[in-house]
Amino acid sequence: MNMKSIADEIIETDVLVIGGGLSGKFAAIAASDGGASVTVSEKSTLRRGGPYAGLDHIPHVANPEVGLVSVEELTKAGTQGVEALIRPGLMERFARETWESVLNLEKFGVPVKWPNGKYMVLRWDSGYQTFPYGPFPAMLFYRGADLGIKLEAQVRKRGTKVLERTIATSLLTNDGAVVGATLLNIRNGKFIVVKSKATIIASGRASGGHVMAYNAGAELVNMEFSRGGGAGREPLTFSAGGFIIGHAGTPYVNAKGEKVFNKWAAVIRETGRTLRPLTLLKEYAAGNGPIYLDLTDQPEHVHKEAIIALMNERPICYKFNQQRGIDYRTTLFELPPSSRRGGFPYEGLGGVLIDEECKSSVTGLYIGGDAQGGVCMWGGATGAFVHGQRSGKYAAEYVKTAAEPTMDSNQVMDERERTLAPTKRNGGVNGLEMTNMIMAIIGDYLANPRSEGTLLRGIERAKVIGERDTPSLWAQNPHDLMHTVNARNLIPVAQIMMKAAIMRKESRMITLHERIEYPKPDEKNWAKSIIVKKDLVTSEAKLEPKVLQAEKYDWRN
Amino acid sequence: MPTRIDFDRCDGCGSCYKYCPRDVYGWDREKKKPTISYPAECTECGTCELECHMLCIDVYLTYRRYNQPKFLDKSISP
Repeated sequence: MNMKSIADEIIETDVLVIGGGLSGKFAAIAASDGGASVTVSEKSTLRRGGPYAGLDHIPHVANPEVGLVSVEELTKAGTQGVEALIRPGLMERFARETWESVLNLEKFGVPVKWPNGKYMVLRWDSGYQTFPYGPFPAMLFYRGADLGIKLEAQVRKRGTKVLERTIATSLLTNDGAVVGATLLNIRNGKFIVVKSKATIIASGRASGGHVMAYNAGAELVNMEFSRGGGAGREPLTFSAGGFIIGHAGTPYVNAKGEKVFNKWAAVIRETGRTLRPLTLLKEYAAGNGPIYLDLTDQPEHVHKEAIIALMNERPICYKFNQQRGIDYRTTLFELPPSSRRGGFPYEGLGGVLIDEECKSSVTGLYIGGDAQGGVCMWGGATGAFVHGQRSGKYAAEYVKTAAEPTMDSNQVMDERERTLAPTKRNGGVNGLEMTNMIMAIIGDYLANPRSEGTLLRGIERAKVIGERDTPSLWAQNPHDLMHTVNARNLIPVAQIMMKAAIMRKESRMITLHERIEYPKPDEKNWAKSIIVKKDLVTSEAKLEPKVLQAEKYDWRN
Repeated sequence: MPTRIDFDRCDGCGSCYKYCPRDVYGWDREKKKPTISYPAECTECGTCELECHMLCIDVYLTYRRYNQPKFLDKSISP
């Protein structure tokens, strides 16, 4: 069949980048610099796609020459407590490439130095321990308010084709290799087919990237270390970035007026979770909520720094407060315990297993940023920078020798039928409603502590909803259609997470995986990762515990 | 509805329609003004208010002034 009659638009490119956030933009830049022709698809816009906060600090950087930690120290901190779950060597390589990403930012015109010419290394003068490894100079401030705009300029300068308001619905495969993707424009409903020699998934943790890679045959790892809902974002009035944990000493107070952060420092060190979710969780559970951020007793120079930090950390905060006459010197800021608004369907350590070139287990499929798993327990913005640029670099190298991809027109036709079917019905289930149902299942049945009974019930519920509602999904406009794609993609992920949680008969990192029946870590049997792969014959998920250490990834040689 | 637009002040520059990450805004071609087409999808990220150069967008917050602890005589953010 002629491809032109199936697709509204056909694009041929060397490298397709799915997702235009921090990692996607870095990947597009690196791939263009490597000599490849690049196409980026982004659900929103390149200018405002990706994170809208966390832009005042680069969380994990190693370079002793400017007063930061060494590569060895950062590697040790990143693998502490998760040695059993990651590919050794990858964290070290990540640590080694962090400084390169800072130099790239500087090259792109993002300020990373104080006016005196020194790099903005975070001072740990507060005495608080915010990370499991204690006071630790691994953080660099920068003025990232215009980061997205500056990176967008770099992407466009290189002649990259940009598809905005476009989501990916599936990856196209042929003979075990990824040869492109099908995309959907969420404003006009156009069905676009992209033929690419290499594809980079840079879509973050939960935008369908996991399931698209899984359906294409890639291996997922650590999916049981997930939980429902994303980290709650502060309301627009304040965002606790590097400034709060670094300069202001994390001044959280509970409803009784007690400073609460220090109380939980020991637990945070033990469980390896970052401060805010855990502190809030514990305080709310103890009946001491709501929690506020209190800058009122800070000295004037901290207030001045707060304003500069906030104008970058989350650029809207300062303007928002100014427009409403809210003063940092006299106002307390309420911190919600969680927020469904803007949260992801799920968050955690899981992702697509990658090798040292950011390549998945499928030929032609590369993973940048947060969609990957098995590297370290945190990446943050640095993870997006480093893995974005590395996946772009190796994808560009791969396309130089890759064969011309051929698409299977039957697969494209099937995917078109499947994606556009909801527009042809007259009534049925709304995609957003179905997404919310699956999110509720993830939130309720995958909640910690977990037991086999609730997990089995959760799998059954997800299956029932999938079988009952998928055939009657109904879309009245392109946005509805986008939600039907999301809903469809979320069901297998929910089942995979719960199946892996049943399989792991121990508790490890209790805020992410705690089993009631097995309350202790089991180092003897479970110092390994669960790899999930789709059985291409039965379409069932195949789970297999595996020691990642067994594979040689030693970068010291 | 999470956002409110002051249409008297709006000059129709279209930046909210262009830059909203969740595509909450639509565009009325006749009036040359934005519409709020998908209010349920707003995540209160604030991008529209940040981009609006006429200061005519007001984002309503889920977390508002409530449950103020008694020990406080300080003001609480909205």
